[in-house]
Amino acid sequence: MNNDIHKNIITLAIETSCDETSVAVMKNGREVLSNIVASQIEQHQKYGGVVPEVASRKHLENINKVIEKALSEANLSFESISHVAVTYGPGLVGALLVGLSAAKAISFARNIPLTGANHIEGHIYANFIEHKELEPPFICLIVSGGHTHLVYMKNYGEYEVLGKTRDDAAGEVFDKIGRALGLNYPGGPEIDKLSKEGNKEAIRFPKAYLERGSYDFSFSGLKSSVLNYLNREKMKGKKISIEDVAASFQQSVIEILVEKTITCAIEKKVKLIVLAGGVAANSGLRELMREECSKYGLELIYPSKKLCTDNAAMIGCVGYYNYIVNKNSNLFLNAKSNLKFENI
Amino acid sequence: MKILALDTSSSATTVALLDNEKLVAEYTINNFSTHSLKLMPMISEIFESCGWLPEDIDIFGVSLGPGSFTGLRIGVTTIKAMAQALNKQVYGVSSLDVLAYNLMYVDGIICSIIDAQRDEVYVATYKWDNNNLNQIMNPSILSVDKLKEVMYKKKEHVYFVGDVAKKLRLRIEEENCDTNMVFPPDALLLPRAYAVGKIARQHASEGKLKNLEDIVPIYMRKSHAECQYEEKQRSEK
Amino acid sequence: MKCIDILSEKETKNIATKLSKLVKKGDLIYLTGDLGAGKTLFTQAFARGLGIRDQITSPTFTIIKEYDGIIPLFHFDVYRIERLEQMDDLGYDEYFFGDGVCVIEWASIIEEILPDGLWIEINVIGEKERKVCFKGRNKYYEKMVEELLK
Repeated sequence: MNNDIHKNIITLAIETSCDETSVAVMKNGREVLSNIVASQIEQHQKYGGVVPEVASRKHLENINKVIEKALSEANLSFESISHVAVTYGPGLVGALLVGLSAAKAISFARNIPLTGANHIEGHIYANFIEHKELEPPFICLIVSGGHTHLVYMKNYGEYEVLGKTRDDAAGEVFDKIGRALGLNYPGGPEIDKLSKEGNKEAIRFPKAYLERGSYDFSFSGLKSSVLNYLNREKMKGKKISIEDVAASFQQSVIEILVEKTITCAIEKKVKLIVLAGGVAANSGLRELMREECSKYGLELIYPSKKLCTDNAAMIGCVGYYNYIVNKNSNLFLNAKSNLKFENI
Repeated sequence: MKILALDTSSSATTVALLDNEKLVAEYTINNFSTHSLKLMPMISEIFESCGWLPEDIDIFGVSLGPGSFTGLRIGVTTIKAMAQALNKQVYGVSSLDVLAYNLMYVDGIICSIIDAQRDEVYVATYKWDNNNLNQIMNPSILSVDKLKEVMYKKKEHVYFVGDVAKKLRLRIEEENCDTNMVFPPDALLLPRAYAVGKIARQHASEGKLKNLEDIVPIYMRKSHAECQYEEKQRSEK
Repeated sequence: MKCIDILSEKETKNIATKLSKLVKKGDLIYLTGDLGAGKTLFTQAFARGLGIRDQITSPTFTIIKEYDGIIPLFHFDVYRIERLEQMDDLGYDEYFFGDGVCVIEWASIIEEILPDGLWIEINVIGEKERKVCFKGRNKYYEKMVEELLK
């Protein structure tokens, strides 16, 4: 056996909180030895992989295969795994339970420690993987299909949740407006692409600031007004420029996301802003955030597209940081669909 | 041959360790605690009590259903992951078969029933022929009324097994039927991991090997959802 | 079918709160209406009425979210369901016939497999105005509608 492996912590990480089945092998938390995502294994579309399936029994059907692939790509066997990390929430209970059951079984069978991880926290940690020098403190905007949070990360495992959505997650609104515009699922990347061809000033959709001093978000009003606009124009018999609607809608979303994040960073006197979650892949958001950060002398970091969406590597990273401070779980670890990301 | 077997198809969680024919330990819990919470700690406890280690196991046995979706998902995934981590073989068995083992040597028809909600049950019937279990009626989904109708017509005694048998008994008693239907006491109604282990061992000796990815829960589609699904398929063509 | 006119979000919240006091374990509430009609808003007020302090957010992505209240609340959003057997994979009957109350947004998408329940249709009339229609699919739910609209 390779002695070098024994000095390192090799984490087998499992993520099954929603549609995607993913398993990764990580070395010392930040080095990816493999990061397998089930929907990407079979290349069905020219865009690379299929869209992961909704509510499917595929987690159970995929999990062993994905574990096997993660190990073989890392060129390791179970013998070399020193630790298991798994998402235990938030998410869909039935899906979470597949990953949890597998993780607990492996932990017991191999007699290695188990760490539960919060999926939302995972998105933040995706940045630690690609940016080796990244250290807290920073302000993190986590935006995905299921979540929208603005968090002040003071230290590893120490957070202050400054704001979150009161209704729809940002990514979800992208998907719903995408559907209303007749675009393919997922709507986010489609709207991002279409926006480049449209005029973002064409229509002024309202932005919900909520009460003074609040860092919370609310997107259901914006969603309604875009839908109302589409209905009104259709009733008037007017031709709708979907490029303009996409661009204007996207502009409203990203303006509010950027504004609240920047204001927050200035208030907390933090010089570094980090993006996370699927919507962090949005080029409009990245561009506007970069511009504003530059204006205020703030640094900006975000992960590559693959690490923005759900994947196990980010979970392995969280798991590692929990493990080294002995924040381990036991075999009673249960799925929590509503696991909150709170002040710690 | 050392075996770890379990069944999470019903409200109960049951785990057993076998050494060839011998039942070394069996642990069944049937209260409100969920499979997701209890299963792995029970497995850990049973190993510790027997002084066994996971790597001692030669084969794994698991009940594949039909039954509770959540329960099956947890049980099947747990066993498959353990087997994968230890590079050992898994044998999947039918929950309806497992129930029939509670009434070995009984003369008459064994009717295994598992709750399918909406007043329906998953059902299969068997007869014992010495040590051999013969399936008479293939697994199906029937309404409780239809089940009563079918079983009432049988010339022999029909013994019901499965936790939903209690509900059925209440229905029969309500109607004051003097019937050929027999309801064993509660203690015999729940699945036992011992039976899972026994059947798994039989499969192993018969060389009924299956790839890990082919071992999946038995999801019998409910009649109404199936009809609607087929309707939609037809109308979409 | 009984309909009422709603002029503000406050009125939606009131009716939802009233409903939360009438439901029991095992009850099924089906919400339909276009995007932006106010289904999640309705559910938020309903949840408050059940004593749930957590923020209720849209379950579009995870499909089901579970909350602990006076009675457990299972909040479904089947917007993303494309095929009925995806519902099977969720083990939906175990929720429907389980220990809590189910509120299902976009219920019309899976109408064929739904047992009798209380159907609530929220129609958009204006920016804030809604016409909300209630239909109980059996005597139990019909009585609930009567109580609700007293």
